[in-house]
Amino acid sequence: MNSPEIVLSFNEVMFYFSRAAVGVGLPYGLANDYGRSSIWIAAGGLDPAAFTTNALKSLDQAQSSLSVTQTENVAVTILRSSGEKRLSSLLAGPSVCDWIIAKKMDSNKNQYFSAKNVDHPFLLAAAVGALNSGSWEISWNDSGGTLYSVMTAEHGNWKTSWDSADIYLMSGAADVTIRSVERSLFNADKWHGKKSYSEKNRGRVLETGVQVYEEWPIIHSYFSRCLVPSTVGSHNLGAGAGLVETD
Amino acid sequence: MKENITESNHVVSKGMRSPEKVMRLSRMGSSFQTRLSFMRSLTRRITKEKWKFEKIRFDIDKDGYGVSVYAVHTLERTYSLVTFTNAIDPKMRTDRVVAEVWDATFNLFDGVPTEADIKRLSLNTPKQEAGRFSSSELVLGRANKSLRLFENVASSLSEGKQPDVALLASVSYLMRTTAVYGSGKFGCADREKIAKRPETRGAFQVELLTVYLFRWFTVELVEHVAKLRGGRKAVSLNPEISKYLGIGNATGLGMAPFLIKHPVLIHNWVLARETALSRVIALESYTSETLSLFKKYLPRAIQHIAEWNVDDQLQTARILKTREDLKLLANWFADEENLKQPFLWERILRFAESNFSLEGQELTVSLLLEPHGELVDDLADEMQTSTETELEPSMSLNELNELLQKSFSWALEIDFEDPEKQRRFWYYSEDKLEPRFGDRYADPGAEQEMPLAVGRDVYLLSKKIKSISSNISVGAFVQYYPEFRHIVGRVQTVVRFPYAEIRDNILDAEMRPIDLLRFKLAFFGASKFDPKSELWTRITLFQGVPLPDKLSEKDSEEWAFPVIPAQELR
Repeated sequence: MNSPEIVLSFNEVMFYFSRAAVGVGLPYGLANDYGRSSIWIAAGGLDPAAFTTNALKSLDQAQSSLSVTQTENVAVTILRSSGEKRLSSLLAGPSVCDWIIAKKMDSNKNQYFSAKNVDHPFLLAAAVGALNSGSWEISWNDSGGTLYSVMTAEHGNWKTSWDSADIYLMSGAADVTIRSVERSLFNADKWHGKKSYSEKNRGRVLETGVQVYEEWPIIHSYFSRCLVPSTVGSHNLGAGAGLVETD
Repeated sequence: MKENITESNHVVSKGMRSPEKVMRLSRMGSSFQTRLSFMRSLTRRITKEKWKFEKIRFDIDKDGYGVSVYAVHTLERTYSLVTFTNAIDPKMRTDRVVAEVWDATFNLFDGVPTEADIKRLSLNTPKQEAGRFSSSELVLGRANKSLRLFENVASSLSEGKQPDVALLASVSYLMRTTAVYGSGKFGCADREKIAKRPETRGAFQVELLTVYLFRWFTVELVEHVAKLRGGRKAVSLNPEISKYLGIGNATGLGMAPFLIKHPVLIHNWVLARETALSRVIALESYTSETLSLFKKYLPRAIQHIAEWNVDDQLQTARILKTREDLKLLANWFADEENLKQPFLWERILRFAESNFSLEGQELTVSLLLEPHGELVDDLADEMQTSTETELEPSMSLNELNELLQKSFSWALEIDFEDPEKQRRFWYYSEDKLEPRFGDRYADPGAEQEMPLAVGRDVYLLSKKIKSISSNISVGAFVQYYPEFRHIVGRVQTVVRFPYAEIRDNILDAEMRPIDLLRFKLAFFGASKFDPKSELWTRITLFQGVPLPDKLSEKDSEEWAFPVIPAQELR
């Protein structure tokens, strides 16, 4: 593998990634949620830019939408884009989290959540993982019909149904379902031997930093949209400007 | 959730000052250090746990340039200050974020650095923001010399004399830091790495430890230069003078966004101070010890304020008024009849509230806490948090509206339709990400405004809620109107933390950012606020604290309100 473009702290992941999201038009509240999802990915030892840049691009290029409708019946809550565009995972992720939080007070524990035509399904798993709220299974089928699942559990542990960290496996829009599952499932046969991530990963990354590879310039360029060009006037009015040094 | 709400009247019922009183910019901008300030808790811990200090390396030439490593051994771990000093073009010396060279640059290293670490840092630390760091580095900082004082002290010592104390008092430091970065900046260790360590879990403890070590370095640096210049004739600084030399600091707009981004943390800081005050004024009687300590600190505070002189006209007027306030307090206290009544401390507070300026009142609060360490020092452990703002999606819009009406009336009363009420905006400049304070109607960049306008956003949220006829859930609301997601989560969270919000409009045309800076710096423990404009100030840190080799338990308790060393030392 090539050398990383940059090694970031978690704090920097939050700072740069959330502002990059603002740079492509996401409101601050959703941008902060995206920042937390990016940290969750990073804490797993994965490159958050590689997993999330396409979601920013989709929004920036108006291929995905933040405009949604949500319907509900006894069995399922369904979230879909209001128009023709794909549903942005940058809004769908926080919406799923809101549903999960509200579910704690709801007697209907069997109801599941379905997000239709989500631009980048893995980001829903990242949002749920970052929420760190018990055991959930997030699943989707790719265009070839292969099933992909992520299971989140207590204490920041999670597993994937696939072994490789290759990004192409996660690309492509899909319908995503999110279900509450029993905690014991994490160690059941279905998930035995699957790729596993734990709090220990987070501790390791705290020491090594978050390695970010070739998508970093894209994140940084979106981030830079939040900066205001410096003018002679603003430079001269900055804190500390014009001081005659006599100290 | 409702039963968890700590409302404003709840803290007031416990004898604390109300958030409406305490969290106003005018009062925040009149803050003083207290014994709960972070520097004070740091020095108490240093002596209580008997931390050991060690100079590991000092490769500095006759002009004061080179590399040094100063270590502190705490109960479980060692931390090292690695400092690089070098010659710079005087024309390039500036305290601004946009500076590119500094007299000294440094890191606080987690452990003892190897040669390889020092080599790596030598290639990065002098570049500051343009360098990259690792989780071994907890803090990154830089400092500039006070040219006139550094040279005067070096010259005097080299000639076998102590420096001119009058000059020394007018500056108060040999070097001033112009940025001290922690918490994961530029690749340094995240706060999470050290948040559970007993010695670093308190607010800003690693940053302030760095500054304390750096202050030690500055004194040894000037003595070293003097010694190489004067040879056998040279002398060291009198310990009373080195104790009086603090470390300077120039602080600009970067601190202000921090206060607004961390509302629960700010609540905990203020709650600790107000709880401490409420404990003190609840005492019906005083002890001979607390009375004696108050009698000791009052004249010292009077002298401290008498020695506080600045160029800024507004601050000068405030200092003059504070001096008058303290005279009144001394007179009141000298009247034996006043000491015979119960609740002495509460009556002092009420006297101050009725007669003093805001600065005089806040200084009185600091004085009241000073003799009561045993009663209040435990509160310093509470001045941190891991709580973040959280959205509660199942709440109804009507309930949210009730919260707004109940806890944010200060914001809803501001007429944000008046352009002057949101003339200002905060932004990051592309010029080294320097935080700046713009005029919305004159400067470019308002569309890149930082999300700090809590009052205005609450106002707009309230307006939007009024436009919606159905009582939908908050979850549905933020799905339809995601632009309100951040402020809704904030409102739902901070209603449980009454001291969390600054109850003023920080976008107002008349807003003075320096009020925010002073509030935060006072919690650090800073003194001698020296405003250079409404946007930045110089201050002194650790003035009055002995150097590590002279720091005893008694000293760590008693360095508040430092004064110029006694005449015989001059």
